[in-house]
Amino acid sequence: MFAYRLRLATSTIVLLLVLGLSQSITQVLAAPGLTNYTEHLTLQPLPRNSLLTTFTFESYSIPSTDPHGTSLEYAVFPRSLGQILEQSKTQELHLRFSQGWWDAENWGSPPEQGKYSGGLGVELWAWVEGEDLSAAKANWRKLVYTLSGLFCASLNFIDDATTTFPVKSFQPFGVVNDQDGSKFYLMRGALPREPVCTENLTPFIKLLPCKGKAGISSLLDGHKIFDAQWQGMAIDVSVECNEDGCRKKMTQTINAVIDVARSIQRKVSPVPVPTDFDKLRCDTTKSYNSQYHCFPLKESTDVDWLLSDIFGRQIQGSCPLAENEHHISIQTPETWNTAYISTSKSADDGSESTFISQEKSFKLEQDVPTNIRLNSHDSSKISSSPNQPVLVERSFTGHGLERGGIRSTFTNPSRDTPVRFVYFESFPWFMRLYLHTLQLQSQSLLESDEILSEQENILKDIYYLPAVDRKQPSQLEIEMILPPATSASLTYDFDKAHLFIEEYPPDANYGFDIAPGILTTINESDEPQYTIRTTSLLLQLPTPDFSMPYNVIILTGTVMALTFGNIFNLLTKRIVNEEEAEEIASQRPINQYIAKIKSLLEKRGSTNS
Amino acid sequence: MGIFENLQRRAAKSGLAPKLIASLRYLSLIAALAGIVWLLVLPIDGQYRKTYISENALLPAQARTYFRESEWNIVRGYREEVNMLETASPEQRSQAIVEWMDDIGLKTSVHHWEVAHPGHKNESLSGTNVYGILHSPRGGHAEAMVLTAPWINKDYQFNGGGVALVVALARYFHKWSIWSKNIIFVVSSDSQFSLRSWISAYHTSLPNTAGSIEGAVVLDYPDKSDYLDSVEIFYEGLNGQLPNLDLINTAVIISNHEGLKVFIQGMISAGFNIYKERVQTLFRGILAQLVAGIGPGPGSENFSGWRIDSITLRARGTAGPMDITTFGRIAESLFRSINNLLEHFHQSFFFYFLLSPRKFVSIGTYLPAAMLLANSFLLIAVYNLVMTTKRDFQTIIFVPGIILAVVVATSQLFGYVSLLIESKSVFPFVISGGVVFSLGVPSAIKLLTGKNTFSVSTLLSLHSLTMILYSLFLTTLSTLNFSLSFCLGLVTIPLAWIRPGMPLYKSIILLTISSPWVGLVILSAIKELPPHELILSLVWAWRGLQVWTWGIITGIWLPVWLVCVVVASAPTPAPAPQTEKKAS
Repeated sequence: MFAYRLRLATSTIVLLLVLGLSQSITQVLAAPGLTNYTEHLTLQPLPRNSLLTTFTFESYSIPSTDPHGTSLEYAVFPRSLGQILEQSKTQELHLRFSQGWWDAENWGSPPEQGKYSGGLGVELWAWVEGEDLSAAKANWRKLVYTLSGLFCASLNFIDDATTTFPVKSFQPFGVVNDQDGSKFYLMRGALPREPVCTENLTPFIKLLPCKGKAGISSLLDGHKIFDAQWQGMAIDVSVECNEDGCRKKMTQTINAVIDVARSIQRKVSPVPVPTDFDKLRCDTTKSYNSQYHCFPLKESTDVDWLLSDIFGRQIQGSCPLAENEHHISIQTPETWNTAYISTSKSADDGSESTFISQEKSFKLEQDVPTNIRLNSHDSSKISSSPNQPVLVERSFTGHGLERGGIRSTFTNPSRDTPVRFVYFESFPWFMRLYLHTLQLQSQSLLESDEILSEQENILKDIYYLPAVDRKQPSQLEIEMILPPATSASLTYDFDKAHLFIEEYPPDANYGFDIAPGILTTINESDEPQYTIRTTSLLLQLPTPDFSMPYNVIILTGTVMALTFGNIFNLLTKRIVNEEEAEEIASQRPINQYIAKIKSLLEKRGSTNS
Repeated sequence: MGIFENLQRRAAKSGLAPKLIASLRYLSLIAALAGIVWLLVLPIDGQYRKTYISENALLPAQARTYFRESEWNIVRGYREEVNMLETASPEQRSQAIVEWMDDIGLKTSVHHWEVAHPGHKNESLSGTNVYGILHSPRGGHAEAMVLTAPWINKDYQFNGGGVALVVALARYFHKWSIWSKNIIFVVSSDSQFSLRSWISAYHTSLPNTAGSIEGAVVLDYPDKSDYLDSVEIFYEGLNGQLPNLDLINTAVIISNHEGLKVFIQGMISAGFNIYKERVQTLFRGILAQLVAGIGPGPGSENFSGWRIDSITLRARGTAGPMDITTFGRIAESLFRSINNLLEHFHQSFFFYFLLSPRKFVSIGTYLPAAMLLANSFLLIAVYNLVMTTKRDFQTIIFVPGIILAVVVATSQLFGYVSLLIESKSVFPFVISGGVVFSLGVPSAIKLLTGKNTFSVSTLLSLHSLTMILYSLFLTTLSTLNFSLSFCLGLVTIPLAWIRPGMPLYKSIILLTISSPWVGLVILSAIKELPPHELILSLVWAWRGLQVWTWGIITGIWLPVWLVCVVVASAPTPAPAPQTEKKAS
């Protein structure tokens, strides 16, 4: 068996080198009848000349009889990750790196109903196996430490004090069952403070079979991706089972909303130098419009750009392992023109030929650099994306460093359908939540003055796990049904605990990031629909002046010295009355000298007079 | 310890204690005068310090600014539009701003504000603010900076330049991807209640928020000219709060870097190189802090209370050669600096007085002035307490305590009622209060007591108890609001000299010059407001801006003064002068 595989491997290399035909590689690696690897890029213009790009990569391992999908044959599934999952007994893994702000009002629901979106910073949740909770926690710790190394992220800071155990908010993507006696625990940690950057993108690309050399992943340039208005990277590993057995499935997703105008402007000049006078777009209908007066027009809706303008490079042909039919699809209405431009070098004479297609879905050719051109005279006409069923906004209330409050506002913009959802929040232990201050105020969007006080009708269920100092965060899951055209504000108060001086981070005056809340809408059949996240919050704790301990030591030292001196005096000195003391004092040699001098002076004074 | 014992023995032998006690009244006066002299010493060369940037991350004036050239055309364009709105209704104004901010691509919202009058609904103030949020592409979305311009500035001028600049800067900032903090652009209907209501609503009920606000800059450009020659910086906050000195330093450095002269406290032609100018700046600073929030202010004071550091930049002069985009570049560079901050402003000083834009005295240096003044009342209290001859519980504690409690309750009720009644009757109410208190209280006491007189000890204890509490209060207040504490202490020095049974003319003089009503007249002269408007401003400042001043006048000053009225007017035989001699 081993020899056979070795021979296959060498033959694939030979094929690759000599013939350059990778079609055969996929045939060799593929399990019969099953897809092993697909990649797909979707481009969707959003309002205001923004562009949503969605990269999706799916890779699978070879099916095996093991219910955890463990197999010796990883095929295109990355071995580095597979082994970590096996070591830490993780059945399902979800890792999110996100940055920016999703404008739900303008952009609608996040891509894939928010399935692959994450909260700001890094978020990780996984179903981890263990005989009991402590065994599962040990595996979880192993998982976060190794992932931390693999993805160059501070995942190792997810400890007991930040790990939560969601009950209602998360559902597994694949198979997680306790049939063969193994027990799975769902654990979640979030690091809202973690900056997401190129050092996280590089390991992400390394997991791909074509590594960013070919296929759509060749577009992934950190400088461009991280210049986006909103972007998120997601890695989801789950187990998929069918009659052939179980196999691991990994979905890697990158979503980015790119401000096209800014992206193109940065290409022209990296700094925002003032527009040339002759290029100013002024409203010439204004009476004062002149050489010196310019009322700026709205951003032009006449757009025309190439994919390479935005990503700085072309697609370097297809990834030979990608088995799907169409690699790229563009979601635009009819008013947009799409052109697929592939430049192929003829093998014979090295001449280049350009091929242009007007389709909305394309298949990439191997080794053929490809570009895409989009243009429209009215970029405000875009294909509609579904509206987000609930809008959620969260902020701190109150002032002062002792107490605080949180207000989360949920709005159901729909006129006719109520929405049912679970809202998940987790707070660090130093935010001492008072659940008795929880209040829900709802207001109809139609008659703005009417405040409905039907808390019971909206609030369905509360699951609350209180915090334990330094050991466990508090965790709150609230199930609500929001009537149509209603806005509800949920408020509660908390106290800010004092930390030990060594518990403050080096930049204590920055404050502490509070992880985003997660809202999951649920349909009638109890299935999760949309996942929506709030932004993170910045909690200011009372911060000591860190030079204070030094002052305290000095002051305490002085007080101690004074006390000691007094007590020492009392213990060692004899107590005498004043006359005796003066008598004794006059016996001292120095006082005798003084007395002598005094008497001499007095004598002289008396003689003089 | 030997030396202390020695000294103590000598002091005891030479009878220092009684001498000291006899001279306590004069020591008290000396302490009060020393407090004043202390402040006069501070502006002498060598007593103050030069400002410096404490937070290295700020990097003031290090970023190259690009708000120039064709951006000027756009500023002019917006300015033309804004100037057309000078006579427009508030709705039209808000609508125009909403439209422009929407076109720029900001998340724009409208905030309807109201400051309610507790008793009379029809007197409530209301208006409309517009704000737009620029969500930073790279930031954590937990922090924000605020750039704001009120439609009407503190001098009731139309702030067309400021509003146009805010919109033009919003458009310009939107082109950058460097922001790590969200930027909120606010156009408020005025620089006082509307801005305060917005900030207050931001922390309670606004639908769209953008994280905790780290810094705020108010732009004030009322002149119609495109040119300016200097920048005035306002920085006083409410209730004695100040922005971090680093923010002011950054603004000063940036303005100078852009070629604009900076001045503070209206010292427009000062070079700050001579003692007189520095003293003037110091005392103007104290007065500015005292009256912050009373009447329309520059705007930046409204941010006090939420750990938001804020300043107002005001364009002055029309001579040039610097133009409105230079003023905009100051804001641009200032925002680049705040954007650089990794932590909240915390490095530099929070309590200081500026003697010039680049010279300051910190709290450790100036606080003794207020402390000396506050403690002069304590010395009088000790003196009076020693002078009492009858020292039982009833005389020393019980009766004075009851009187003090009644007086405090009466004055606070007076203050509370003044907040509830309608605006037009506040002034008559306060004036009639003055008449009733100054004439009614002495006659009431005479009527109530009849032939029974208070013992001298009771009155001395009453005065003493009041002075102890007053001194404690002033000491505490001086650490929070130095100016209020110092000025209050200063005008009430005569109250320390009130004695039971002192000659009528003397007591009338002392009580008149230190009465809250005379204080209000002085304050109205400082604010250049007629007294009835000043009282209304004080009442509304308490209501809408949470400024303590009215509360302190009616809740602290008035009862202390009333106690002194009681002490001076209560029928009692004058303390025999020989008691003092006997003590010595």
